[in-house]
Amino acid sequence: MKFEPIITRNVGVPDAWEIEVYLARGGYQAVRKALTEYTPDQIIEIVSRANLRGRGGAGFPTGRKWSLIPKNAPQTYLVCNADESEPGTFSNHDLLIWDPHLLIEGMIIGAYAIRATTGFIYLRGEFGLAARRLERALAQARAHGFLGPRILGTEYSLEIYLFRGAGAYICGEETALLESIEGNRPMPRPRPPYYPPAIGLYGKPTAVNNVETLCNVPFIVLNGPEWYLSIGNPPKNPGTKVFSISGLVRRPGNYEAPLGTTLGELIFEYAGGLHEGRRFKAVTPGGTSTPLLTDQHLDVKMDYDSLPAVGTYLGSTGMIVMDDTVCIPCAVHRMSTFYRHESCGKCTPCREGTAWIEQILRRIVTGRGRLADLDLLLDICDNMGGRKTVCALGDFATFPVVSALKYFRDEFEYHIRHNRCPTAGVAVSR
Amino acid sequence: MALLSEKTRAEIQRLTAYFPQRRTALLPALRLAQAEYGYLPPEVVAEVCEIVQVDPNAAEMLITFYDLLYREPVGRYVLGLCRGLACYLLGCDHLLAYLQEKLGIGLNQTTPDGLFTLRTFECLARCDQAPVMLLNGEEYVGHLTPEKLDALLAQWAEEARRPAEPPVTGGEGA
Amino acid sequence: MEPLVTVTIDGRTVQVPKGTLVVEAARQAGIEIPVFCYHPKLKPVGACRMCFVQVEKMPGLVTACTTTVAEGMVVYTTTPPVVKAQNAVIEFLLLNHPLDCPVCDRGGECPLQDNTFKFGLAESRYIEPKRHFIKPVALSPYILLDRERCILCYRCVRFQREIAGDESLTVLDRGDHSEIGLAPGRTFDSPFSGNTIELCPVGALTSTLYRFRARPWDLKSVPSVCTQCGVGCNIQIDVRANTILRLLSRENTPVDDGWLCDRGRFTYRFVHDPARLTRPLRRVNGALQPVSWHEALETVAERIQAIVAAAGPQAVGGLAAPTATNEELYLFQKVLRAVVGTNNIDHTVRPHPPVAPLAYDAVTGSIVGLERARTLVLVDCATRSEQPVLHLRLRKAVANGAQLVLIQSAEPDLWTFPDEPPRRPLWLRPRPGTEAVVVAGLVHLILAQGRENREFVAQRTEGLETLRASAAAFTPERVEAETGVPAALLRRAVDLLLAAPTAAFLYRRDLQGLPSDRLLLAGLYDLALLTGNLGRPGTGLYPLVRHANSQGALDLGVHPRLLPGQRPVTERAGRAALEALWGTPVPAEPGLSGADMIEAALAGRLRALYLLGRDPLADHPDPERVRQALARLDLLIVQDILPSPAMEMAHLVLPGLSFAEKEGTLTSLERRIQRLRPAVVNQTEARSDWRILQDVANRLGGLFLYAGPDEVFAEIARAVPFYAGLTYEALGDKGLQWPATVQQDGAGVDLYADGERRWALLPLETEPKVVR
Repeated sequence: MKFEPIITRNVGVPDAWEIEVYLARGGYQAVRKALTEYTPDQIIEIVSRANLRGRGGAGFPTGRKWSLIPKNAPQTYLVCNADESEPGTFSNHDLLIWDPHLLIEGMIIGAYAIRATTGFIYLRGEFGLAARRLERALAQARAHGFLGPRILGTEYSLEIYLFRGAGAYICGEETALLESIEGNRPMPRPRPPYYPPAIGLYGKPTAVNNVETLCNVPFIVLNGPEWYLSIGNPPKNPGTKVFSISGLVRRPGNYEAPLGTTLGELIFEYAGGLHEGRRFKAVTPGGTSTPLLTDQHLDVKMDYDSLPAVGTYLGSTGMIVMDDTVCIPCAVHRMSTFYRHESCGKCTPCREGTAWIEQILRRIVTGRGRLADLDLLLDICDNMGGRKTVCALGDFATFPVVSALKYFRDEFEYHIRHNRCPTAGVAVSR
Repeated sequence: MALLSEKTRAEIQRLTAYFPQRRTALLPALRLAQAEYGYLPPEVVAEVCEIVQVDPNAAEMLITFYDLLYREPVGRYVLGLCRGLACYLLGCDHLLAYLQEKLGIGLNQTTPDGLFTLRTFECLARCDQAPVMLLNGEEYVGHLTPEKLDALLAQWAEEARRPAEPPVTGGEGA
Repeated sequence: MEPLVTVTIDGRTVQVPKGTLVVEAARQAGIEIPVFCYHPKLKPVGACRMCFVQVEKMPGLVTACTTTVAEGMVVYTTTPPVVKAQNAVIEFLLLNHPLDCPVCDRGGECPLQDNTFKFGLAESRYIEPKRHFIKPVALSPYILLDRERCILCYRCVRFQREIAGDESLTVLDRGDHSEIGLAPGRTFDSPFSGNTIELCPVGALTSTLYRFRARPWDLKSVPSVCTQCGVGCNIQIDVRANTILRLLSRENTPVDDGWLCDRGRFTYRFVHDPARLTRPLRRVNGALQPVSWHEALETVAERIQAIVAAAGPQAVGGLAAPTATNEELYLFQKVLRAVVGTNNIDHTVRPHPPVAPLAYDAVTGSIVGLERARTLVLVDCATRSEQPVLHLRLRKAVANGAQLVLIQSAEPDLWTFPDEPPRRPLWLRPRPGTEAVVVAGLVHLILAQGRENREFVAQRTEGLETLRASAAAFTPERVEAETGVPAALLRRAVDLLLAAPTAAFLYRRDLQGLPSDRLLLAGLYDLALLTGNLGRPGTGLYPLVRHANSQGALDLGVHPRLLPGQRPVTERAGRAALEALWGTPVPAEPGLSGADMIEAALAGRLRALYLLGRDPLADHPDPERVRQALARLDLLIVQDILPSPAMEMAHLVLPGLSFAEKEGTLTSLERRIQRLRPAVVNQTEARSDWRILQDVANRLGGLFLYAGPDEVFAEIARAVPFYAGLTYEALGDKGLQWPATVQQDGAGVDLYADGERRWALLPLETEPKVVR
């Protein structure tokens, strides 16, 4: 029961990244329509009515974000966050290597809407193939007059820079991303006062949008908000999401499905379910930075509002599936090494807390834990979380720990009481 | 005596005027210098900083912050094994141990013949092909097994004797 | 004036200007919110998370350092969630913080200790191995880094980038491995690096000179003033067992904004240098021998009298260092004028520069007033090395939006602002030595375009037509040909100058020592008047002097042609006033300048030379010539604190006191008179310089009856009209700018604010082409 792809329709199509193929498949018509038939404010109106929500993880309404940009600012910027680094997430990766023109088209419309004449794509440093494809696509778009001065004969001009990162998860945080472009140490900025629509790139009003968000825009412009609202789980969760499903499933991959598709459907019907003889145990619904879900949650709808009702978040829909051969404490320890490695170090609770958490979990999984460590971990998480840090990494680091202790405390206690791991750590699928 | 080629120096110079602000060129410039020189010793960094007109401290800050910038020399093939959660579930720890044994080096070390450096990276965003490796910071090799690694290592060692072609990775994005 | 906003914090209500941060509002309400990374002079970063508060209608906790007040805001700083968060942050900070307190310099004056005591818990739950780094690491000869102690508040690197304008220190690595550091081979070489020691809230950055020397509660602190340049930053001298252990800043906001440069901070060990002069010396058979004060003073008097008898008072001269105090300088010139009978007095061996024909030879504005200049024109200045803390003030003005116009051939000092688009100064780069022609070109353009300030020129100047005629020759084409500065840039400079409601002109008072100095000075003077930039805050002429009391030397007539009060020697009324005060005649004939004294000595016309203070001959361009001149003297008296080259030829050496051992006043480059206070007691036979001079005067037949330097100062206040009304008490610990009759509220005093005088514009004399 696979859904007919919209955003990912060009993924898997040979040479889809070449502009001739993209054009032949109907590409750049949305740009033409947007620039010749609508004003910038009308584009914002359309995107707002469609209730497109940011696909990077926060789900903030895109139209509202764009409307926060002052209309009379002499200089504004549109920045595409292509720093995909949330563990378990690889949806942007396929969009970038197969359909770079779709992103460019979405960016042109978005930049037009906020009156930006300069755009940036902040691309994760490791994405070598995507970088080559984007550079090529940008050059092709320029050659065809979709970028540069007076696009398609209108008064609107846009130049897009490709900026490659160099390996740091924190650069996916929008203000750290801007610091990185500015050549500074990429540490997040305090908000207030540094809300990007007010003070953004080079101090100018800036909208930072995810790749997938921008890829939705051309379709919304072409087909209209009502069309978009007929898909997914309207009115608050319209449209599709590209779900990245990996881990111990038979068919790991990216699957575009309507928002509101249940967890069970995604794991068992789209991704082919678990391996022979294995039972579903847990999953990271929105990447490792969201509280775990378990077999109790298979009927939960995957959208921005249903997941908070069960204590987690849709996030980036990086769904790493764990089965009954997986030791949860060991897996959580592995997740904690990620946060320790990626903490930028700016604020005290995250810098010290991520290291402390990793140290305690390491002791536990190597058989030197104490029972008191478990409540200590929860208290550390309480001190780190609750939006007390400059950015959400401080909260993210706590979610695997707190949710694992909530659902699998017995496994932690086993490690502590028996000084060893019950499963010797890692399950291999083949 | 300049360490970087005229071509790289000219490209860095071009970048300083290309972006809306000069300092934006610093990270791209360091990447360019590393692409040519292989890594970023202080002498190379000094050349970059002179062209971009920033204090070497600014470059040092970035080099020590970012995972893809190398202060120490690396081998011809930098094998970056992903240790994200999905790759962990699919056995990357075993592969890491396997490679260390096979190559006879530890993590962040280079084989004596200068061919292979072994590193790890955090989730590379290719979890559907786990376990995954990042080669030379640019190319992805997925669905790794000990056998596949054996074949690739042999192929790259052979390639090293014929430096003209870019390394074969066996498919990405297909 | 910003509108006021009412805020309630822990039940206390305060009114603060709109835009005030909650942490500042709390301070005004008398409530302490603990901070580490926040500092009032640096942009808030919200890094340490120590300053959490709860605000009604805002979810969770917010950091007080990044939240601005809103009308009717209600803030709580002691609720249980706030307390838990504070305890947590302290616990996090102490996880890896080493138990160094017993050996850490910061102990006893440590914000981390204080905040832990007040806002943390007594126990830590951490049982893991602590993080270790090699320590200490020498970042520079003056600063040591203990990385383990660092709590990563980033104040040091933020200070360097935001205030000092360099990146001489940075943060390396990431996450919990982050550390303050440097690129390999780099040192922490900023001239302002020492400020980071005071900013650091822990003992991570410490001074090499002070390390392990004392505990703060053992120190006696004495307020004083730095003597390393003309800015006059206020300092605190910390002493233990009669030894200076360190100097700290002592904020006098309109002067130094709380900063101190490294030269000022780390230059004090000379006070305890074993080479200090400790006893009077007299040359006997070619070698200097210790003698008693009585013998020394008798010899001085006898030999001066003998020379005067044989060759007249004009054979005697005196040179004072421009670092001597006002009291010493005043007595010095009084001895020479009233007792010996000569005007051969000076405070420099360089040529006297031309001076703007205003009422006073002095900076017309104030240091703090520079913050209100919208355009700053700097001609051949080197503020970063010569007046470092003034340089920081100029950077602050530029950060607030002032536009810089630089006229200099050398590379500009650091002016970039890393957090905002680079504010490139407009740099007019003339060939060396042709700056005067550029300035003349600006005058020409303003007049040619008819853009002078008509009202100001009509009401407060005269001689416009003569100036216009003389300026006609300095066309942009001629300027470009002679100096290399493109005409387009010249025009842009004029636009920037005229677009600004306030503009100030800064230049070295010494100018360049070239024939074109007169043209340069005239041009700057005319520019200020033509544009109406005189007498208002943010405007004026700033001839920057280099030394701690160069201005005092001018004010007190340590000059061959000027009497105290800067009155010409040749002017009857000035001499008469002084004669009435002193009860002695005052010589009418202008004397020899310092440079002339050297020549006169070589020629045998000057037979006796009295040198006062720290090596007054150091600035002469030809030391060999000086040596030869000194060798020809019949009598060379050196009154100093350390050996100098002159001492090798001195007949008498009189040991004086350093700045840290005496009372006295200094007048800074912004006309601010400030007090020195003794911090250590000199336990040798060296004496106060003012007393030595009094003793010399009395043995020469004078009648100097001052009981202390305050009485000398009282007489100065009577001799110098614009020092009238000043007393030590009135000066207090912050000093006062002269003329002291003007009310001083921290906003700076401007000369010529009353607009009652008319100034003659100076014609631009066409000079022969400057050859370089």
